[in-house]
Amino acid sequence: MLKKTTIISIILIVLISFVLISYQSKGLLLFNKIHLYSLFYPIDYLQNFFNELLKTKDENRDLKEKLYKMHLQISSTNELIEENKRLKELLNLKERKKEILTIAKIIKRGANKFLKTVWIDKGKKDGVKVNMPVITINGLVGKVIFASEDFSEILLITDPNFSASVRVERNRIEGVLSGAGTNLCLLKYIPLEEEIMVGDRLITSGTDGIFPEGLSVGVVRKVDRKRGVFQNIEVVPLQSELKIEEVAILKSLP
Amino acid sequence: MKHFFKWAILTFSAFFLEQILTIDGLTFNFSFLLVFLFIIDYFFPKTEQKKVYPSEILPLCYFIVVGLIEDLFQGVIGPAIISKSFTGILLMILVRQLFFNWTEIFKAAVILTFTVIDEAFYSFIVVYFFNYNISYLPLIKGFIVKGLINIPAGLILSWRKP
Repeated sequence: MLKKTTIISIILIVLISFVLISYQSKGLLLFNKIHLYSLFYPIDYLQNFFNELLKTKDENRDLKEKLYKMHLQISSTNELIEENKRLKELLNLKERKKEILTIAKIIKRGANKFLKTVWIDKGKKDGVKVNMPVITINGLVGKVIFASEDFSEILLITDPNFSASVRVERNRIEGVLSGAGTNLCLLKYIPLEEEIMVGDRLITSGTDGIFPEGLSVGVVRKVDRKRGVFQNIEVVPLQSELKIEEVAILKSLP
Repeated sequence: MKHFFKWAILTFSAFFLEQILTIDGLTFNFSFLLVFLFIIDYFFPKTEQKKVYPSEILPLCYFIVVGLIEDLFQGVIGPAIISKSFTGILLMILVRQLFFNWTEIFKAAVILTFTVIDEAFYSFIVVYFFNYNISYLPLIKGFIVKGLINIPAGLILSWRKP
């Protein structure tokens, strides 16, 4: 059927490949991803430029409106922040600041075969590093899983391989949020006796060492207490993955 | 040389399209079409060039190159090399069976089946070694959709061949 040399070649290829894969899976060997974005990036840039130019007027008006609202909110919360700082100082607690590293644009969706990811137009050159949190104005988007010189790949919170430590804003119960593989997330490891209600807002708890405390994540959509040791809780992310256009990358926690 | 350029352009185009096109987060598997078309082109040449017993190493090298390029796009070297080599070899065995009548329907069935086999090989290796959490049903649906999308493309590109 097949020649001897062909069979030997296949066996060799498979062996070499398996050795390479096992080294890579243990993180002992890493290869850079190649991408073709550099090729069509200028065309994409021009297209976006003209699109944005058309939208600028409306966007400007909306942003001004938002700015006024934010200004009002800030002035009313400034006092609380100061009070909080004073109390933290009294208790000797260190405050972890959330600092934005850069703003980036989404340039590609779904390039990864298994993970729900998006690509952004900022990379190592701009200081982007693996594991940096990614947010929008609405809430948490995900984290950086790969960074090349000019581009980076973001793992979305709806991917089952994503996890973050979160807290229920209302009653401070902590759990782990991970993606459901659809457009939803799951809140895991909440015991049956804890009271979680539909509509509860989730924020990051800052205990996972990746995401700073207090980032908005999502809202509880469904609570199922019927089976198992833990509750099955579905969460709708505050930032829909289909509507992400621009993101902010936060600096890693110290 | 002409042949080399033809395949270089075809390979580049397939990967270019694979990288820029997605449907609702689902990527395509045009690289399998390269394997399929190479087999058709190599084992069913025009009558005047017909080889008595064509070499198996040249197609195998091409499958490895296609697999390697695909792996480089995903950042993990190995899984696509294995899946493309295996799928290619299985196709090679299939084309050697003289009792098959290569009608368009048979070709469509081959494209669908082998795209699914290629995807299944690849996914199994990646999931096993990298412990990815995946939902199996959407993954299998994805395999079939990719196979179905490959059918018209494969039939057009291999029109009236063999």
